[in-house]
Amino acid sequence: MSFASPWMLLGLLSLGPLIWLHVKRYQRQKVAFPTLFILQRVMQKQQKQFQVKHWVVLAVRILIVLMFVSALARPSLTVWRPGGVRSGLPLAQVILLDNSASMQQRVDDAQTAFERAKQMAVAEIGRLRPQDSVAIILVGKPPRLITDGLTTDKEPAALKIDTLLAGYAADAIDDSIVRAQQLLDKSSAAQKEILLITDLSAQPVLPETVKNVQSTLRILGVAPKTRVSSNVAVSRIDVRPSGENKAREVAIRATITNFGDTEKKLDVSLSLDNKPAAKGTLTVKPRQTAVKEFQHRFDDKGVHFGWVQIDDDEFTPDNIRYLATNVRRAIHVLVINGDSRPGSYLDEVFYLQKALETPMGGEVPIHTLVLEPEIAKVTPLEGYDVIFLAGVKRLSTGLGERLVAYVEDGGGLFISAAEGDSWTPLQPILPAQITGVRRSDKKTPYHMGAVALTHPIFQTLDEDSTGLEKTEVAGHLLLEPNPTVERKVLAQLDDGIPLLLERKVSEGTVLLLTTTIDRDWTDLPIRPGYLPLVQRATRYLSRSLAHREPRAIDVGTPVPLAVVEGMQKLIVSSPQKKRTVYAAHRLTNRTRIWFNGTTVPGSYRIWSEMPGFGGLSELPSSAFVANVAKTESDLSKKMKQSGEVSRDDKDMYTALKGKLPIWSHLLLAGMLLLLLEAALVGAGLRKSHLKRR
Amino acid sequence: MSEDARTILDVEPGTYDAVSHLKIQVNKAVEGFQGGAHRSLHMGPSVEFSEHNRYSPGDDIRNIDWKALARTDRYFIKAHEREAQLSCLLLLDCSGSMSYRGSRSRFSKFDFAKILLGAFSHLLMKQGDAVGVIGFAETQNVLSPPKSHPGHLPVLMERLAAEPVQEQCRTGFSGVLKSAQARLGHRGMLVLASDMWQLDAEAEVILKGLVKKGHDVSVFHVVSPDELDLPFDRMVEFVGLEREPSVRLEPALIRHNYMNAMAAERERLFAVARSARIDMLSAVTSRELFEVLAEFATRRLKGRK
Repeated sequence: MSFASPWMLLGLLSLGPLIWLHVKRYQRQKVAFPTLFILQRVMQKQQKQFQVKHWVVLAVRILIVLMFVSALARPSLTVWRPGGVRSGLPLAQVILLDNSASMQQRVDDAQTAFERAKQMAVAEIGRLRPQDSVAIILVGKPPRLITDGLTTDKEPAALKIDTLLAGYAADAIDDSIVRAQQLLDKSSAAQKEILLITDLSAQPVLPETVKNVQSTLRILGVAPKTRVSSNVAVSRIDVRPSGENKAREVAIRATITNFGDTEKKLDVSLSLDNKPAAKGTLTVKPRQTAVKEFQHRFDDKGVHFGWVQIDDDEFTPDNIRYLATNVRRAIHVLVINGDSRPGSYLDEVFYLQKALETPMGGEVPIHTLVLEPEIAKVTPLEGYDVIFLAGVKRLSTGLGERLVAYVEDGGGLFISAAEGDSWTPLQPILPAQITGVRRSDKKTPYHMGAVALTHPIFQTLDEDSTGLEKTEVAGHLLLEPNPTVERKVLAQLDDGIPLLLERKVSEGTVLLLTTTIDRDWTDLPIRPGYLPLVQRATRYLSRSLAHREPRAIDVGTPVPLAVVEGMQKLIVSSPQKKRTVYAAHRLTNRTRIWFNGTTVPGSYRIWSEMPGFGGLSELPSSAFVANVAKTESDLSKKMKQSGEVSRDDKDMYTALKGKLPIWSHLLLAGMLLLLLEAALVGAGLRKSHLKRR
Repeated sequence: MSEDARTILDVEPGTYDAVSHLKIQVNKAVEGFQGGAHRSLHMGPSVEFSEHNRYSPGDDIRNIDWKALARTDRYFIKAHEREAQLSCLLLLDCSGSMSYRGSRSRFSKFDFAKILLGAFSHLLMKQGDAVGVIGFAETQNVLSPPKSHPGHLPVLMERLAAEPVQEQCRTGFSGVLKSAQARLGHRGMLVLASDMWQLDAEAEVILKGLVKKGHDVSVFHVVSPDELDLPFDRMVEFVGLEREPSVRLEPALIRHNYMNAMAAERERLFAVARSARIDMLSAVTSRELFEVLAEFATRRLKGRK
């Protein structure tokens, strides 16, 4: 049983006074009386009857209060019954219309599941009475209300349904049910119902969701007549540099999944930059996957878009899958210089820049751009593979938050020590909490101690020729370990104090050097091992590049877009060339903005307008592709729930959970009990009063 | 009524004036050596003609009916009833149950009985009758033996007024009735003011015996109106006034049965009175005293006729 107005149950507190009054009434009042012999004579016959009556009257009175208070709380019984439960009271109905990608499957030669679902929804609306109200929510991710809340104006709602097109997103049934319940909570209708019209290929509704539903929940199944699915889908595409950043060659691996029960031989084609690039055949066994790999060498650097496509079948949206890849000629490093003295060896990054830009045979060159923090603040970070934060003493909150977001999105960040308060904004990604600085006597400096030789940064360094073991450190940061943070100490001083630490944050990596990157606190920059150390660290940090390939998301998933201080405009162009423009006022004081318009599969490209950049410029590293969710491809799934909804039923009309309002029954019961109480109490009194009169 | 007598009767303003003109008749001939207002078993000087008797020598010639001589030529003597003085004993029930007052009466049953007997004794003494009072419950207290001289009334009233209720004591009818029988001796009048709830078979026999011996026995059945209809609403623990165990109940629920039982009990008492030729009068304490006495006097007059 559930209650629409549970706070009314507070009325049960009145039971206390009721029982108190009843008992008080039955409390003894002593009266000296002469004719006790007559009373005793009468009582001998009636004493037991009186005692029973006393408790019966109390029980009836308690029941009366229970009935009326419960009725005010508007209770409903939870009923599991096919066909639903309805009474003649006004109904508020929320129709959850599944417009997920799987609804594009054909249920017969003439109709898709979504077209049939629309007809069923319109028919349901047609059955509603004038006093009933309706709202319609599209179940595709994210759920979308297409009416103005619950409305009794049903004709426009039906017309809106007619104009709907099937979506490509995954379903979000649980969220939709929760939203529907929220709508119904605001309604005062006596009956509330959630009607889900779906092809039943969705994920099962969570038991908690059903449990929390305070309305009737019905599912109207739209099942194809042929139950045997033969769907084949391009379920995954992986794009990897094929030469460890040494060339512009990429390996494109397309995973094809056969959801059917028969083996399929398919033509698989690859298109890149809107041109056919490769073609092949693939045999996929039933209920298994197979991989088709294409090798491709891009002529140009930058972001390239493409897709892998297979032959059409009963469900076309998953026969094509989009990809995007960012082809690089060099590792781009942004160095944020905390102590800029151009041309001088006193410059914070003098040694770093020299070390990074020194060509290494057989390796991808490293291109550096050195910016001061003030300039970096208004520079997009997404185009850089690695960022060095070199001796920055003060970091703005905005740049700090962007650096955190950059790392979380897969970027590599190298932080070197400085005296100042630049750590606070970076706290979420630091390997340890920085508590202060320790300086040594110049005569007795610290020396580098153990290093993690198995780590990729130190793995190939020749211990004898680097001179790193002789490195002297005159000052370093003091750290306080955070047990909740997973980190590695890659190098330490001879007294065990960490010198170089690593922390993985989401997809990205952070390296923290607890001394300076220049010669202020250490002679590391003049050691032979300095150059290979910073180069190896840079290449190591850039290896997470694979994770920072242009994002591939499911249709309907919100996408975070990085916002740079001073950005005037941010434009997202959809595959249908529809542009979503975020003006300056929406970008102010933000480091990221969420784009919710991924409604169709394809490539989404991003442009921004920054002051001084000469109008709109594309942000290739922010581009992404959206594909149909893999979960939508398995059309053979059954939606299981209490009451066992089966796909073998034809157009099922199954109530999972029915809510039968019973407050009117309780009111009636309360009235009857009142009559009973009056009869019980009055039966003895009536005769007596008449007699007395 | 003397000022002293009003010590009791004054609690009922107006009673004095109301009862002063009443006259209490005895339904039976009484025996007494002194002349009074009531029929005597003996012929004697009186204005009330009784019968003619043949004149015999020695009879008082003043009694010869000269008119009868003229009509019949025979001497007849007019015989007149002797009017005797009544000896009356008033019995006041002092048991615990008499202390009940109830919600609708100004007096407790005991006070009502006292006032009733006080007024009654005043009326009798005004007629020249001798009146005595005994208070009784489990013990007896002779407040005053029957006397008729005028100085007796204030004493009687004072003692009557001072008599207390015997708390938690039952009514001992048998003892007091036997005692009264012994005290009255010749034919007299016995007036009992009681609720009569403890009247047992032995007492009934004694009462009947008293009547058979020629005593004029009257009973004022003093009850509170609350005893008749049990007017309580809440749950009540009724505590006995004569050591009965208490009873806990909700009066409203048993009222009907109680009233039936009460009516039956009273009917039984009145039936006993009727069968013993006892004049029993219901004296509900909510009634006006005058009404009760007037009803009693009226019934007496009717009974005489």
